[in-house]
Amino acid sequence: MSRTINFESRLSIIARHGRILLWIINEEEKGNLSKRRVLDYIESTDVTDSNRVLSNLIESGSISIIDDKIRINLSVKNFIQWANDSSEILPASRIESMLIDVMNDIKAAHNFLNDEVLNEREKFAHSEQRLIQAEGTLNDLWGISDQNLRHVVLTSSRLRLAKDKDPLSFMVKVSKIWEKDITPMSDFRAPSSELARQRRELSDILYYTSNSSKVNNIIRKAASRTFQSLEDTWDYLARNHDLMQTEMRPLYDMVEKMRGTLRVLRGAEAILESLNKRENLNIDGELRICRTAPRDLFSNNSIDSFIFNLLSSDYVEDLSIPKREQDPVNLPIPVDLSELINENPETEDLLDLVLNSEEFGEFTLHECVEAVYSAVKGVEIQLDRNSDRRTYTKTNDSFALSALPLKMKVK
Amino acid sequence: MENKTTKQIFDSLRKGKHISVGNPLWSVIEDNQEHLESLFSQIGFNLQVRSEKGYAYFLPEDDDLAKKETVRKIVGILNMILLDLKPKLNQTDMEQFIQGNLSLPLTSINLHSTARFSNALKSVLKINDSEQLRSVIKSSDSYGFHKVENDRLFLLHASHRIFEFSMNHADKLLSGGEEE
Repeated sequence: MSRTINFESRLSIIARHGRILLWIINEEEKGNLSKRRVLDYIESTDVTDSNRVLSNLIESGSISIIDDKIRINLSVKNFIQWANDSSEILPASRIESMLIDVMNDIKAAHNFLNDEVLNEREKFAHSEQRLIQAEGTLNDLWGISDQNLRHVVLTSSRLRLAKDKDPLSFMVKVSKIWEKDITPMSDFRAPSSELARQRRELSDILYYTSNSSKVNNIIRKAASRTFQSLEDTWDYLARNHDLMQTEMRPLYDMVEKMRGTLRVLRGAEAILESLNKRENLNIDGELRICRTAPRDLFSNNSIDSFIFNLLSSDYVEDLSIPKREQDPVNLPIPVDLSELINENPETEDLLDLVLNSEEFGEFTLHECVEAVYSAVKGVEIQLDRNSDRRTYTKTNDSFALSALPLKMKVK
Repeated sequence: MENKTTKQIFDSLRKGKHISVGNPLWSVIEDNQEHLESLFSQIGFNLQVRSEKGYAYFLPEDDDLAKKETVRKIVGILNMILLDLKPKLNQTDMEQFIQGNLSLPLTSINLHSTARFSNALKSVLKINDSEQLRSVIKSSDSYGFHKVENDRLFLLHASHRIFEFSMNHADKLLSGGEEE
C-alpha cells in the first residue's frame, strides 16, 4: 500500500523517472509486463538500486503491481504521453459521444428546473450539478481537441518523411486518421446535422436561463458559463477540425493516388498471369476499340461517310442577285388600266369591270387580277369587306377566282 | 466549330484512336461535347468522353472492332512495362509515369530478360525480341494510349482505359477465386 505522499514528492518522482514511465507505457501496450522485466530495464539505465526506484514509483501511485503485472496509473499515463507528444488521437466518434453527453446534461438541467415534483431547492441543486457536469465535459473536449490537433500535426510530419520508405504503413496510418478521426466530424459539424440543431436549441435555452428571473443567481451564472463554454468549445472544435483537414488532406490525396497505382499494378499482374496461362482476356467484349474501314460498296458505313463528308464541305453563303434570264426589253408589259379608269372613274367592282371590258378580252384571268391588284396612281382602290365573296371567271380561262370585290374611285 | 475539325476528330476516332488531354483536338471535344455526341450518334457512332480522366473515344456498337491481336499486344506490353518498373521506381515516380509526366527511353525496355514477361511475349503475343517489341510499341501508338517521342515512351491519359480493363480483370479473377 502506498504511503502518504505530498504533491512536491509525487511530482519529483514522476519527473525523475519519466523515461522509465514512458518505457513502461510503451511495453504495457505490447502485452503483459512483469515486475522482473521492469527491474531489468531500470538496471539497464545505470540506476544502482532498481528495487528502490520501483518502490518509489509504487509508493507515489504512479504504477501498481497486480499478480506480478505492472499497471500504470491512467492519469500518469496521460501526463507522460502529453509531455512526450505521443498521445493517441481521440476518434471523432468519441468526440461526438462526449458532445451528446453535454447536450443530455444541459437538457437534464433544463428539465429539473421545470420538474413540478421537486421543490425549488432540489430543482436548483440538480440543475446546477448537471450544468457543472456539462461544463466539465466541455473543458475535457477543449483539451482533447488541442491534443488531437497536436497529434495530427506531428504525425503528418513523420508520415511525410516515411512515405517512400514504408508506403503501406503510410497508407494505413493516413487513411485511419482521415477516415476515422477527421471525416466523421464533418458530418456532425454540418449545420443541418442533428447535433448542430440540438446545440442551437440548447444554446437558446441556456441563454434564456441565464437571463431568467425564475431561477436563482447561481443557476443564472452556471447557465451563462455553460452557454459561453458550449459556444467557445464548438467553435474551437470546428477551428481545430479545419486545421486538421488542411494538414491531412494533401496526405490523403497522396494515399488516394497510391491506392490507384497499387490497383493498376494489381491489374497488371492479373493480365500477365492470364496471358501466361493463355486465358481469354475477352478484349473484344470488354475493351471494344473502334476500327471502321470501307468494306462493301454502298454499305451503311459508306453512306454515313458520304453524308458526313457533305458536312465537311465548306459552305459559302451566296447573297448575290441572280442574273435575269430574259432581256428587260422582252419582258411582258402589265395590263394598263388607265384608259378604262378614265372612262369609268368610279365602280363598285373593279375586277368585274376589267373582266367584262372588251379591251381586255384576250388577257387571262391571272393577268387581269394582277392588273387590278397593282397600284394605279391617282386612284383609290378599297376592298369591300361588307360584301359577299364573288366568283370571277373568264371564258378563255379554265381558272376561277373567289374574292371580295374591290371598289375603285379616281381621287 | 469548323467542320474540318469535326471531320478530323471523326477520322481519328473511327480508326480506334483515343484523344487525350494534350492533343489539340481534346479541347474542341470538351467544349463541344454535346454537339459532337449528338452529331456522331446520328450517323451511328457512340462518342464516349471521360472528362474526369481526360480522354475520348468511339465505343463501337457493332462489329467494327480493331484487330484483337494488335490490341492484345499493346494491353500486354503496357501492363508488363508497369510491372517491370515496379521495383525500379519509387511510388511517386510510378504515379508520375502512369500520369504521363515521366517518360521511359525505348532502349531501356528489356522485357525479354525477365522469364515471366518473356514467356508471355514470345509464346502468347508472338513478339520474339526487343527490336520487335519496340516496333510494336511504335506502331500501336495510333490507338492513342501512348505516344513515342524522341525514342521515349509516354503514357497518355487514355491509357487509363487499358488499366481500367486490367483492374476489372483482376477484380473478376479475385471474385472468381472467392466463389470457388
